[in-house]
Amino acid sequence: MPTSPVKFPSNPSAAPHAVDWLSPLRWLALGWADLRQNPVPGLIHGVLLTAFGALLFWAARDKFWLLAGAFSGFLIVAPILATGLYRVSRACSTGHCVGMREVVSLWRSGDRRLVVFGLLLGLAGTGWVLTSAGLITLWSPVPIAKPVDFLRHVVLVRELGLFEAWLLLGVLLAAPVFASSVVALPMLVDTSVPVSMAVMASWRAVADHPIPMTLWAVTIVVLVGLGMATALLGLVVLIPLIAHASWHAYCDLTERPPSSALPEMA
Amino acid sequence: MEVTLFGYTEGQIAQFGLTFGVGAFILYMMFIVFNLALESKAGKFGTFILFLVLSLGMLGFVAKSVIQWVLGI
Repeated sequence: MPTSPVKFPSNPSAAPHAVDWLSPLRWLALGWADLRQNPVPGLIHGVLLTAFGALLFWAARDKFWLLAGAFSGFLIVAPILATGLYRVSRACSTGHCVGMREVVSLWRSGDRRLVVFGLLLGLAGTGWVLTSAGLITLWSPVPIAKPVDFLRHVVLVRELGLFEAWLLLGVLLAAPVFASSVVALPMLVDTSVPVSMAVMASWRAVADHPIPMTLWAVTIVVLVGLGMATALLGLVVLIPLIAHASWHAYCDLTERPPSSALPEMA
Repeated sequence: MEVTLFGYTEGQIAQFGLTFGVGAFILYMMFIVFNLALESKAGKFGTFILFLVLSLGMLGFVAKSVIQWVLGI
């Protein structure tokens, strides 16, 4: 059964690679190559998104739930904000070097599918913040008002309990979001399939390759964590790197030849 | 006078045991899940969820330990 609802023109000289345990490293290497080949659009995305994250952090620094909501929403919706870089990677694979004009044209196209997907991701982010707030309010021995309260009374508590339950809840909610978007977002940029078909293709790709996709999800979490640990500065490079690498993940997972022309509906 | 073993206090040995013991336990759980996946008992998407929960749980455990170590707790 084909993983993708679209048919990609065959191009034996640039066949996609089989997905295995090492694929996430390969995607990162290809993403890095794209970033080096055409760094301007990626770094502009990285700077703008990092600056926006820093602004959120500054504005809500003493209000934990506002900060958690704003940051969770930002991290969940960030893949939508980086969709322009999929076009940059697609152009790189055909030997073209496109600039911000191509990215802006994607945004100005007002693609309703991307808007719908972004709203769904925003809804998922809101759901996460509400359930997370409920869990911590019920279980925490003291009220959590500031980020330092969360660090002291939830994350750094010696005993196993609240932090682990909070983490488990977060992963269980993040898993379907990741599975729905990992292939769907690049596919929406690359093809004209409706959102439902793109999401189904995404779930099928994850189900077909559970261990490589777990490794890919963990890799993204580690990279975003490292970026945040550097006072967000690392995100300037890591956000475009992850976005470019995600394009190559999509190519392999849907068996799209990287340098093929635009695909047709199957 | 506090009793030590190879220069480590009881508290430090307990902390090592907790850190490495839980780490080894998580790896053992991953091995069990891997075996389940091989026998297709969990389904492919279920395997993804199980591995993701275990992997990110392990990552969270490591991150918590690193933050505690950095802050000297």
